[in-house]
Amino acid sequence: MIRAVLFIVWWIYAGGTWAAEIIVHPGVKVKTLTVNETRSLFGMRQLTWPGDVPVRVFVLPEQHALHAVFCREILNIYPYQLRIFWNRLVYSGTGQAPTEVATEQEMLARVASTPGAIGYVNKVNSNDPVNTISVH
Amino acid sequence: MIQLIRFLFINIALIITSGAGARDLQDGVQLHGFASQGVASSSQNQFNGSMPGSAGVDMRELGLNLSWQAAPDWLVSGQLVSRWAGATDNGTVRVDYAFVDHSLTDNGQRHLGMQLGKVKNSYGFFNMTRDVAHTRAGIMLPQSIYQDQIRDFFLAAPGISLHGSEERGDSLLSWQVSMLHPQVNSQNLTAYIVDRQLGHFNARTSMLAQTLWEQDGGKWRVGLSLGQFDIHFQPAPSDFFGAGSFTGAGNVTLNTGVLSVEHNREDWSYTAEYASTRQLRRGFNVPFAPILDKDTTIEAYYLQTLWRFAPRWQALARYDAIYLDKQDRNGMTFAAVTTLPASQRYARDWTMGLRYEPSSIWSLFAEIHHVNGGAWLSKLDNPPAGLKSNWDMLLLQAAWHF
Repeated sequence: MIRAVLFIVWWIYAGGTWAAEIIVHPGVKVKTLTVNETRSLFGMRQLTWPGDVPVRVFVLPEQHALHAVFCREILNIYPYQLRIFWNRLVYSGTGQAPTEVATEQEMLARVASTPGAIGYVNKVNSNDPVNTISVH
Repeated sequence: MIQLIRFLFINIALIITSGAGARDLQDGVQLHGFASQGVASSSQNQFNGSMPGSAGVDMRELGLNLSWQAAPDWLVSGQLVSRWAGATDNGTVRVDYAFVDHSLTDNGQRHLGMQLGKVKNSYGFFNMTRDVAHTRAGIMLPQSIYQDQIRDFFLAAPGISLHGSEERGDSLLSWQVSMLHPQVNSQNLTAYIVDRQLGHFNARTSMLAQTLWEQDGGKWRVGLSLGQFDIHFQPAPSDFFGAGSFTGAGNVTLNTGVLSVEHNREDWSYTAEYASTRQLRRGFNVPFAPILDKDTTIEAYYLQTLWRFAPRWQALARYDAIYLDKQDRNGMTFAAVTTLPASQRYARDWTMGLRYEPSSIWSLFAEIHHVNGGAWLSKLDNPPAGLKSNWDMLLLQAAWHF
């Protein structure tokens, strides 16, 4: 009950403000992804785009509000699950971690300048030098 | 070599001084590491340097790994680990893993790859990263299944491994099959299987397989691990009170399986694992210790709940049990035959713990254990004759990683 009230307060306060949009380097021509494909990319399992271009994944810190929104709304998982998954790869030698950036501005700049890059921001402006991907 | 050490040293110093997280050294190359220090205080028995009335600080883990994604289908990675844990580990730097991973096919939904080198053993949910404090739910992994005494079996081993995964709808099925040569020349393992002797075990080629099914991004996870390990005991002449010189060398085959189940919700995670290990012993032929040639089935399981009750905070509750002989759970038959304490044949451990993460790279842990039995205590720290059956323990730990 308390949780529901808190959620409504949060929703009224933040409603419409926190949404996440997936952005990619302008060279990435993919327009849509499924939830599973997006999980594979951010889970560091899918390492190439069609045409064998290497994927470069950028994420915000786990404490960043947008990261939590991205995990819940886009990936439909909890942030702690993603962290556990990356830790398992990194400390067993079976994979690598995504690159962490501090702010949305840095995210936008790094994705725009890194071939094969994928990341997310709150809202993309029409003049931002990145492509967007819709997840269904 | 000196240049590499200098390069690593400078990068680690930069990470520490900047408080940064994971480090991309250059395109495709990553450096990660971890460090932890713990304190143990036990009411009875010894654990990681603790003694009744004095705390122990022989609880330390240091690790550093490098990985190089040379191409999307080629990954080279290696990790060095140094660990202190009472008499069972003295800080010797060891290669934790070092292998090449090549992806054979990958079409998005289906993946097939192979690994060659010293590979981490996929056994249960947590074996692959068992020495990395921040990947564990608490300070200790449930010792019933992740026993430190026989860790040498399970840690990692030189070999070859095939792995694959397949996505269907909301399900992800992954699997791994390894042919390996376990590294078993360890005093801990010898003490565990034949008590404290000077001889040592040699391994034969062994098999390990795991399959893992995940539903809806990991909300449900179910795993099955199966292994067959063959080892051979080479006694020293003085072993078994001099009988070692005329007895045959023993063979032990361990057929082991773990069933793992986990359910993850926003604030709660529930984990349960059940392991059954059949020990087949042949050829020891020690006249006064026929028990060395007795086949037994080890049964182990735990139930664990994690509660993320506030941001950065997590509480742990766990019940963990092991019986070294399923047919003799209270150890009475063993005690009658050997005159050793029955309590070395079982352990039931109630654990309550807290975790606080002041930042993304630090974790602080505290946990209390109420234990009945000593089956998973190191015999190097605790000679069986002096084992106390009821004991409590307080553990504290700080862990850092990048």
